[in-house]
Amino acid sequence: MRNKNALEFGFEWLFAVMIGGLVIFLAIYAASKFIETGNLQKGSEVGKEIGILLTPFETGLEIEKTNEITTKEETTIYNDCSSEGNFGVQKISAGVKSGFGDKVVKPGAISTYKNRYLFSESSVTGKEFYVLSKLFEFPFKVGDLIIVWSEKQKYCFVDLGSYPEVKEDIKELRLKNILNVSSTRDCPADSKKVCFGGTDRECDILVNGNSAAHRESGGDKVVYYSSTDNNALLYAAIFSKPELYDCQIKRLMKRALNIAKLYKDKSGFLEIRGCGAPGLNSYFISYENYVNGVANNANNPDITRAEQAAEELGRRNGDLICPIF
Amino acid sequence: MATLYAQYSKGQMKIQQMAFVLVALMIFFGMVALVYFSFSISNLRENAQELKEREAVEIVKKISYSPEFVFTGEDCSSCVDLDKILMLKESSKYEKFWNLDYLTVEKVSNETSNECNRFNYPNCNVITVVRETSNFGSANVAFVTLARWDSGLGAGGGFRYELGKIYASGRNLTRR
Repeated sequence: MRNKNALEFGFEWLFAVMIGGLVIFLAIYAASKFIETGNLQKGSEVGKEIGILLTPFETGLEIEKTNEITTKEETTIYNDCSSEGNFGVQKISAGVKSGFGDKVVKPGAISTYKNRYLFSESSVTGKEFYVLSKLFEFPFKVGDLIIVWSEKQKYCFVDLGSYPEVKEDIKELRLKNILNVSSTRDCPADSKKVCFGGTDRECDILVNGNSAAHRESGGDKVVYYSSTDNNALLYAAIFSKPELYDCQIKRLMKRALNIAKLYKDKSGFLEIRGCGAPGLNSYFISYENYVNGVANNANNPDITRAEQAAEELGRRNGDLICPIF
Repeated sequence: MATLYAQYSKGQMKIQQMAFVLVALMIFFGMVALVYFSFSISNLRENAQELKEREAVEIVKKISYSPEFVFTGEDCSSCVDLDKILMLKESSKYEKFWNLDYLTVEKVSNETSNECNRFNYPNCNVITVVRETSNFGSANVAFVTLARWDSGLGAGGGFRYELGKIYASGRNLTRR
């Protein structure tokens, strides 16, 4: 017998439920895709803006300067580098935290620059980014090193006794999130311990001579810096991921080679105009050989190998009545 | 002759109505999406253009300090080295070095525009370092001091300083 009070679940209901479900599913899918695309677009714009913002951070008449970048939302800056080609490429992208959940979204489009040298971890997250720009001369101006860290990264510099100029930099440039202590015991637990000299097992980075050893799970990764450049590369070696540092060193050496070529051409051109320096040619050749060796070293570019040739070239140029650089 | 009638049940009619509503809904959402995308693409283009302009402005402000431009003589550390820029113009490696479509250094003078080369230098007034396209839009400009070696200056020659301008236009983002 038919029950008049029972709910009739015929084909119409089944059809309505199926189509309704499909529409809701499509709406949710489209909304999530819109949000994802919006975040990618935002990330791409922020990445490009950060790249543009780094231009005024380059040094002019000064040899070093500090700046801060503040973002409205938590942002991750992705730093990547390629040493291929005449100058290599600096790749910068950014990911902005979405409104939902805690995860950081994928990086947006990559902005590329041939004249930038960004030294940092491969990704830096935060709302406040500290930027230290240092002029790099080898022996002429080659570029500006831009060192970036965020408010979430703390560095603890241990035993700066034999590095008084670094001690002075921390004080005078008011470098944020960098502590100067005498023992690793005084370092906060969440900080990266950078030891200047010694062999303390607790150090994350060990600076000795002209090298900085990053203690990693797979073994130490050693990078080399030059001591002739106002400690610019020392900071870069500490704050940068070793692989990124080596890539940027190769790029800097490639640019140095191209600038040396400009100076050589200029010297030849001015020679007939009474401002030549033919005696400098052999020093340029020696410089190019050493610098080329560092630029094309596949594994571990050791800049100290070219340091002497650079110093000699700078000295010889300084002795000229009509200096080329 | 028998007349044929199509008979529809109430349920069939409802399904038909629902199908029409669904099609109408799809068309409506499609149109909304179309309007949204056209707005967002135009907004994206505007933002890209604005970023391109900002990048060119920042580059033109700082380019005189770039190693390829800067004059390293002690008399004037904010000058640009015109002799070096002439060498730079000849180097094809630098064509895509800056993200620029157009980069020119011009000597401020009353003479007509005359592109420099090794033979007419320094009796010329324009050095074009980058010219990727003739359609580069409006260029940003900055005044600079140009320094060059002049063998006729003083007893053994010396550096001559002149007023100049640097023009730069950002790379069109649709070209790579």
